[in-house]
Amino acid sequence: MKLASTLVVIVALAVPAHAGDVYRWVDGDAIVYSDQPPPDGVVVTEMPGRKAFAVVTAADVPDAAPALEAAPPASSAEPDLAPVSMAPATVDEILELSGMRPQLPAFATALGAEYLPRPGQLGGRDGARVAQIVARQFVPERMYAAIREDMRRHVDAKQLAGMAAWFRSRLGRKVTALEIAASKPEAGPKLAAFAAALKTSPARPARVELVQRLEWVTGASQETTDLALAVAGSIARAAAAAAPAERRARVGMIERGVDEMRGQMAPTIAEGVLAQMLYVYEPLTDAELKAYVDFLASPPGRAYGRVAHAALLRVVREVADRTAVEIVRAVPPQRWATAQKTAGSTPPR
Amino acid sequence: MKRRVIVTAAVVVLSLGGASARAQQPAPSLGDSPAALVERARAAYTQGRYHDALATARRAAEAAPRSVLAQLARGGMAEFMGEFDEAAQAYAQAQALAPSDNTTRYRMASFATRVGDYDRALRELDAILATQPKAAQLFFRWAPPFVQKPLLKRSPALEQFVELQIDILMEKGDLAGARRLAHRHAIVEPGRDYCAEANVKKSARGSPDEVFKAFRLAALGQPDSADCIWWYGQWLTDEGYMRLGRLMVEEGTRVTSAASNKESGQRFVRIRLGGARPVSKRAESLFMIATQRYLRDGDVEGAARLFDESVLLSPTFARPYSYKARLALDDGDREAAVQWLRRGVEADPESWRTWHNLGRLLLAAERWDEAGRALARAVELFPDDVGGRLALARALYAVGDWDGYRTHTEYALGFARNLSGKDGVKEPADFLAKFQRWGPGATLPPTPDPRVILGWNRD
Repeated sequence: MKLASTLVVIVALAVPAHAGDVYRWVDGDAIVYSDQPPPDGVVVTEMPGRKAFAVVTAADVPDAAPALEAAPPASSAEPDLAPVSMAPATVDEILELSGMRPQLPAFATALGAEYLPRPGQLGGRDGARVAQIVARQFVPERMYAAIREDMRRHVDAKQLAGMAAWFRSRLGRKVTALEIAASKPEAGPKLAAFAAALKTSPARPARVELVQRLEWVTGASQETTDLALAVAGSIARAAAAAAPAERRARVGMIERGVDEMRGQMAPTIAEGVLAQMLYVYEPLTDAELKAYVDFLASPPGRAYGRVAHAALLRVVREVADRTAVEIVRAVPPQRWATAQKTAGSTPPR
Repeated sequence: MKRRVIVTAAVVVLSLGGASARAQQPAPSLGDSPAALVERARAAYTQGRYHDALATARRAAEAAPRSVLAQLARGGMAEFMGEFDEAAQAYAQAQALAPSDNTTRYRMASFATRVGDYDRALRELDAILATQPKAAQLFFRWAPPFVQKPLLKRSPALEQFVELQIDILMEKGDLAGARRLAHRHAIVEPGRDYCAEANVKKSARGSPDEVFKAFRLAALGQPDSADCIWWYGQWLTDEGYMRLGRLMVEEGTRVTSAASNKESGQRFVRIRLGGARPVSKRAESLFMIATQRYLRDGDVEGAARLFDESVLLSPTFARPYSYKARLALDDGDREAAVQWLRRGVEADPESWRTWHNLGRLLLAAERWDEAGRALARAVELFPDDVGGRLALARALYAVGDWDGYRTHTEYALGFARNLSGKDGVKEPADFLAKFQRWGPGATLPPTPDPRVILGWNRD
């Protein structure tokens, strides 16, 4: 699940989401809504003050957040790929089962947070304005609708059936549940500890090989870079457009600058993505992880990755550009700079 | 090209600073007097404010149309900025005011060289020499090299004079004459292996200016050093000196004994230097100045106008089209950029670099088929084009032509590994290794455009 892996990384790289108010999860065939947390072992997504999205979970995941000290999993067990249902698949179902929809709220929050001022960077009124704009633009439901529409246009029934065969399987659900769990705020410190420990206790070569292949078939590093640059580029473009005509950078020069950032960011992101993947999929056996990679490398897996990536990137670019323009209009760059001087040493984002 | 740049800069400073010994030069403390304006123009030039320098020099010339100093200042700045008609007018005015002034003559000679009027340039230098006492003339012309060397060392102006003479003869195509002059004035000495020295500097990654200077000396001092003459020509080509670059590459090709080298040399002239489409010296100079105004000064409008003028003078000169495309891209107008490059390859269908640029631009626009065709043409013209091959490989990968991707990538990597560009192809090499291990991945192969061989870069 190329997209899900990217979501995991982006979310982990960004500001963590807060605790939620409404919980929604899948219990067998039923979707459960509750203002109380679900039973132990069930994975949910949540958004503060917003309606939560449905989430797919796997009751058989013993601990969604893998323990650092866990022993290396055995690699010989046959992965459980038996399909749970043979019913015709829909785009909504795929987006649900793949974790795309459940993870969108946290993802939107994390991306939106990139536009928020740091403490002391703006006055209270300006800060509130920016927060309002971000909340108005990064609406998961709207982003989801646009992604779903793109998927409908670009994926046919045969491809959907191929995707469903994986996502409906017990292993597919298990993998999605792991990805969702790792995208949760509380996974952040565990991931950091895991990544730090990798320096002294590197992962097994066979596992590294599998994860590298996973990265290869998903292109998660590039996807993450694309999304990060969508945010950075939106800010650069909006700030340039707001500059006085005589000091305004030319459009092509800004794009060239953004491209240069790609080269600078790429190695760091690639390293982060690999650590993330090792962490997220640690509970899987090598055979399970291999089955997952094989699915992603298959025609339906590739189709899902390609279409989902394109759709998500398009949506994020649109939202990012709109957000940046609106923010710069509401709070011109010089006000950020002035507030910066007054506030002291807090660096601009 | 530092020496040339220094000469140009020195000439501008001389013009602006009033190195002329003319008695009419007033003290620079007279407010808006012509001399004060010239001084201000000089200061602006020194600080890199070239537009201000030209504007101030213009004011000086307008305030004192009969001041040679002001006219030379205006001419010098106009020439530096590529405003050649204005420069010609100012120099002509200065010469009319002071027909026997040697500074004016020297400026005129330098300007005439820049616009390709070599005979005029040589006449002006001869005229300067003729103003010296007969004994000094004879001494300068005929004194043995061991006397010339300290003479030039003691007199930088004289050395500059001789170097300009040599440059003029070289550009005029009289390489034998340039070499005679270089020997006569001990610029080069017999028996010294300048080519080996140049290669040492090149291998040791000496400063570009030092390496350039060393190859120039090899071209002057060792007529049989085919490789060094050739490298000098390719170096000049990268810098934008189409005329001298071509003369040197042709000379290196003529001198070399290896048939394959002769073929390479002929190909270089054909696909990098316009082949049968010669470029006028004025168009070349305008192109080079436009490039500086764009890259160094960020003067987009001025550069665009000079590129247009260059195209107008030599419509088959492909290099300005690439820059026009780049300017369009800076404005965010990718389609206009594509059109400029298409015009470029129509103007010179054998311009490898223009095909290369067109292909890479189409690649960035994800127009895979068009990109593939343009890049295939680029590597057909220049098979060792590493960046072009990698770009072509990406275009093929994007449409699922795995064999094509592999073939072109392997060729590019194999070529780059044998040269200094191997560091620049690490990412494509890693990508290919993964492809060979795991099959096609989700992302497209990287397409760096490493500088691999001297002479094939720029634009």
